[in-house]
Amino acid sequence: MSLFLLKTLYGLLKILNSEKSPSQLSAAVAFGMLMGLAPLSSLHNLFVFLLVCLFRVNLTMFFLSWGVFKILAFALDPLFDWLGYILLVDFKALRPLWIEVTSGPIWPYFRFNNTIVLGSLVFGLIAWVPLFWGAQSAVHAYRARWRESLKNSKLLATLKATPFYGWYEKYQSFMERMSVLS
Amino acid sequence: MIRWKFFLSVLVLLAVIAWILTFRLDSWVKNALESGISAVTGTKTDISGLEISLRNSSLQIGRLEIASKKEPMENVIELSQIIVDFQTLPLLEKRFIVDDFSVKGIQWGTKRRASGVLPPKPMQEDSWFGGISDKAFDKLQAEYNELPVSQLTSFAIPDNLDEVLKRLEFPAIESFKKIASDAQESKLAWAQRVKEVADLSDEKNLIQEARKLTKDLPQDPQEIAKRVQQIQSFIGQLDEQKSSYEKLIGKVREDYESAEKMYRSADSLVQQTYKQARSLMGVSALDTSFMLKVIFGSQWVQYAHETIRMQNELRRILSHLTQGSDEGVQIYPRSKGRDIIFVTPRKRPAFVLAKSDFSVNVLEKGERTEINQKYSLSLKHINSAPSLYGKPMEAKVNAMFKEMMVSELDALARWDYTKAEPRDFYQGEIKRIRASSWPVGIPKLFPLEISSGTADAKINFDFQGSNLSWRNVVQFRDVKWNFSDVPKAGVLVPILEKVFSDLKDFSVEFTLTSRNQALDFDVQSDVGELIQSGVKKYLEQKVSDLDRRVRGAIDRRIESSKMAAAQELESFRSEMMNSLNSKIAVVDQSKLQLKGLSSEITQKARGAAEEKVKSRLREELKKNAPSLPKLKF
Repeated sequence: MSLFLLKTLYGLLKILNSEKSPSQLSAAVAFGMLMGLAPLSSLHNLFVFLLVCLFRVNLTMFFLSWGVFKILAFALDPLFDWLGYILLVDFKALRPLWIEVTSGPIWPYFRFNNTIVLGSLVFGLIAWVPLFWGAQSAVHAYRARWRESLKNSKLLATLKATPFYGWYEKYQSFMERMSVLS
Repeated sequence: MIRWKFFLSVLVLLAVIAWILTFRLDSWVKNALESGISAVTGTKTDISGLEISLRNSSLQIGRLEIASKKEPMENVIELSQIIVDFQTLPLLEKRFIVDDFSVKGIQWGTKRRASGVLPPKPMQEDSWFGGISDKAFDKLQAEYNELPVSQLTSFAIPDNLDEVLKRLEFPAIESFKKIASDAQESKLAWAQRVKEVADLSDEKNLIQEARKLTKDLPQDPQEIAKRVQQIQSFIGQLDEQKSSYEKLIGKVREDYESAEKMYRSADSLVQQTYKQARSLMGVSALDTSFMLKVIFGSQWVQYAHETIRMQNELRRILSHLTQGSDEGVQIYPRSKGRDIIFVTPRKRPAFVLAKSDFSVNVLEKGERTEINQKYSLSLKHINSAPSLYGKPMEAKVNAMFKEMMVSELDALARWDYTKAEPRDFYQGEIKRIRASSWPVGIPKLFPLEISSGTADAKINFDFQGSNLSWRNVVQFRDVKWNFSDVPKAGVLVPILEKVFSDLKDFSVEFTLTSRNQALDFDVQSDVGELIQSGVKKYLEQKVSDLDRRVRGAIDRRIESSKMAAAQELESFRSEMMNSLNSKIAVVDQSKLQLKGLSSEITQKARGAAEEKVKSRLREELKKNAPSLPKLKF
């Protein structure tokens, strides 16, 4: 578990230290959040993933963000359930919309009538823009203030000395080749 | 900005994955069906094969086995093939509409390769279809356990007279003895009292005194009159004496009456001893009113418990289809979150089987041409959201069986879950049930059986909300009872055997109703009275001779003390009364004598007074004659 965390941390630092566009990284964080918060079986996740594939979104950061927000989602499920219930049941003005998106062909498979699916989607959509801007500002700030000092730090040197670094390098080069395809 | 190549390659990859997954669809549906049916039955369900054809809009299920709850290595039912024709387009709306439904090859009680037991489920929370009905049945069972069933086999009549007499109490003997001794004591006390009140010599003295007064009478009438007055006072004394005797007679009578009362109460104690003897014979202690419940009800209650449990499980599942509030939404809890269904005119249930009629013929195992079971099933309005569908679900079954436990079954089941309060209604008629399969008696305790005969049963089961009304009427015909396994201890079993040999055609009615989360169970039969009176009659015959002998023995034992008490009482009464009456007679006689003497000297006083007046007149005439005027005549 600690090795995994070590690897994740190293990957994160590697991406942050690279010359990737901050908007690509922040979009990956935001899309990862949108997909991570929703239940895995939600059909709209497929469309989110296709969007990620379609736009130049950093895949490493996307999967990293997805994993982090997936863990967070377990704790946030009661909040999504509450939000979804308010939107579906208590907020009667929206009811015609929900009736529309839960009936008719194909729509029922999206399960927007489920409190957690809808609650997490709405929460994710609302949080998408602030998170995108927040992540972008954070990447900018990191690169301006801490990148150089961290590059020369003992922590990074120790991380590079581990055998996992070699494996990670291979994985990273594979992901880079994948991005070349695009 | 847009990476088309990567996007298209991912899209192709996803399409390939989706195509591969369609091959797994059959297996997913199979697993879902197996676990769904297992949830309802509580036992393992196996499907050997399932094939979905979207092109032909059909679903084929091959060999569906549902394991038996009682026998883990047996199937309760095995269906060779089920074919479901459905509509494809509603699937896009996540709806499963069944057009037609057919079943081939039904077999009961087939062997299983693996055990059909499922791991136990976690305890349900208390609800009518959770623990409450179980508790109500436990209470009912506890009431059953309190019935004096052991009396049926342990009841015995003693045959030794001395044994009975030894165990008897005779309070009457003591009472009679006490009455006799009390009467003796009273007699003595009264004799003393009478003596104290007056002595007969008093009367004699008075008469002598009066006689003396009549002798040597003075010439003076006033003196004589004084003596008369004296005699009159004697008569007054005698009157007082008489009235005191009369008062004593009253008191003696009172004492006698209270003693007589005690005698009567002692006599009633004899009746008590008779009753005690009777109870020792056990007849009065024998309660036969519970027999109907014991004979017909005990096993039926267990069967009813199982039925209600299954019904509750069905209701739990069906109720899941109707959860919701009155705000035009239905809320279904899921493993993640809640599904909200909006009740609108447009909204329709996800699963509908509007109408389906089919029949199945089951062939003999050996003879493939002989039909031994025939089923016809009609399903109506079977759906996954009754409140959206608005019509109660209905199933009609007609089944005919050849040389089986039952000959014909005709049943209607209606599940109305369209409203907030669900209603389950079953009505049915089962004809020519083998009476030998009908559970009677209590296993081990009173293992009574029916060896032959038939029975027709009518069932009416109405379970609305938490109000249950279940009525079963069973008409038995040509029944023969089997007492061979019933322990022959006691006298009651042979008597019951005799009584039951006459019970051939009869009906039994079972009613089970719920009231305030409790169950009320009753068994009624046209033979209830007959059984009770028959048992009593045979028992009376058995004990009448012993009863007569015991009564005679009790009478003999009590007789001497009873006689003594009666004699003492009679002697007390007669002696006291005679004594007092004789005294009164003496007083009356004395009074007569005194009256005679009184009148005698009164005459004398009158004569003396006349003489005195005459002599005075003469004297006065002589003295006053010269001064009187001379009259010329």
